[in-house]
Amino acid sequence: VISRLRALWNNVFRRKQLDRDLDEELQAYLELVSAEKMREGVSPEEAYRDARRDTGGVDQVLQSVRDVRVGVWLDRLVQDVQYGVRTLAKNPTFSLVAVGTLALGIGANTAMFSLLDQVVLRLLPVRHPEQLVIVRETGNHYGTSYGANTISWPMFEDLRDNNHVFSGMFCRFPATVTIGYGDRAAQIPAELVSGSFGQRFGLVNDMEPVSPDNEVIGVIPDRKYRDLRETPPARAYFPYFEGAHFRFMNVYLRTQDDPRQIENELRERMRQFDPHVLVVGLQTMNEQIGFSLRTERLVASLSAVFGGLATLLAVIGLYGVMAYVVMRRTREIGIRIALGALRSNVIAMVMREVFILIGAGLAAGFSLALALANLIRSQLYGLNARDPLTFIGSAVVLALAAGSAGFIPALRASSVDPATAPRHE
Amino acid sequence: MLAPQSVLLQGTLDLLVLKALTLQELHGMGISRRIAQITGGAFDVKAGSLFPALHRMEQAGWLTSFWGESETNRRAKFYALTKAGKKQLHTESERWERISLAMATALRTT
Repeated sequence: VISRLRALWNNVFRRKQLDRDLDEELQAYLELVSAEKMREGVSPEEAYRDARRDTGGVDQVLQSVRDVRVGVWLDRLVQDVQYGVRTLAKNPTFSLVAVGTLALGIGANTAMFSLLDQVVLRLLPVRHPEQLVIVRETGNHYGTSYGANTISWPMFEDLRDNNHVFSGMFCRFPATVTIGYGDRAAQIPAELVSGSFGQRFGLVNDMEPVSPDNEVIGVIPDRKYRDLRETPPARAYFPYFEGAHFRFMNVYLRTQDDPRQIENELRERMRQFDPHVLVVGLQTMNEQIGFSLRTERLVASLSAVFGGLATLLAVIGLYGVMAYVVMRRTREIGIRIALGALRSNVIAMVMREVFILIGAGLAAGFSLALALANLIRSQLYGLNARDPLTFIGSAVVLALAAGSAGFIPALRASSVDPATAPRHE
Repeated sequence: MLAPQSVLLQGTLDLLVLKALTLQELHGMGISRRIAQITGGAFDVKAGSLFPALHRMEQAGWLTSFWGESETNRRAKFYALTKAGKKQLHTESERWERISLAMATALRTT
């Protein structure tokens, strides 16, 4: 392996030296062969001629040695690319149009997908977010409540003690606690949560019930509760203790089943338990997030449609350019086929140019996407608009789409009839 | 003696080159002459197949080359076996012996 790598290095970077050495080696060989013949009594001129003839052509030997070199495909690739670039440079307007449309398609799409991915496809950063639901009461609320979607404490107790449907349940109540040290005190936002809070969220192990000396048992990353746009404040979590004076709280449930099917059962049970309680409603976490992001999602979906249109235009543009290029070169292709070029050779020749265009389009498109990502970032809440996976994914999809657009003209080029092609104008 | 252009079996040339270099390092023509000698003149390896083989084997790490002086006092490229080349010669000889034995047995069967 090491010797092959060294050979590859030499073949790529010291080609001139290698060719000079090879030339000298072959000259030495010729002289040795003719010297041998002279010893047999042949005249020097004749000996040298014979030696050359025996060798079978110095140029052929040179070429066949070059053909066994490690990395000869690299040489060929470079030659092919150079040829393709020259051909495209002859049609600069069309190449520019093709690259431009591709860049636009790729750039717009990548940027749009980043947005769509963040506001539509990504789920909550907790364990099994699709299993989480929030319980709410519908109908008239009596008494005071803090925020929307809250239910009363007795209701929570009933649910907690009588429910056999959910795999887990917790509640939270936003509050303010006072922390004192020495003669100073400060108020910090806090959450009163039921003991299974951390476990249900999949964040930390269960908290111990409150004790006179509270002890830190876990650190919870910053969370957003009220609004996705908020900057999470420093927040302390305390186990909920009986006798705390609040009447309403948010209740979350976790279930392995489809939350939709549970809703009716839950409602029925609550009615049996007490016909006077308010109707219980369920909302999945994802629905709630969707509701709070509805504007962004609409924008993202619209952008995705425009991105799709941009791709379509880019693909059509590339098809047009390649079809035109192939048509202009009908005579050349016909002559190539008449000289023995295979269908696969012709297809490869056209596809090479397609891939050069796609490569240029990708480079330009990514610059565009990165610029757009800066714009999009202001629309995302603490999320990354430069997800490498998104970029690679959209590049692959678009390269495939553009590649198939170029394949049709390539196929057509390969079926040029060499008998009529020379007369093609 | 075989016809001068006997077709070399795939892999045979490599084995012959390795074998030719076991005693001493040689330049291209020396290898060609040595092969003719050890095969009783059966194989006359031409430059067109010898040099590609030499370069391929050098890249594979079986041979190493250096510039030396030929009998005619000319700068010439000499080839020598490397450790990997000796190992290759060993495994290839064994393989070849198995094949030739099998072929001989097969051809003797009536």
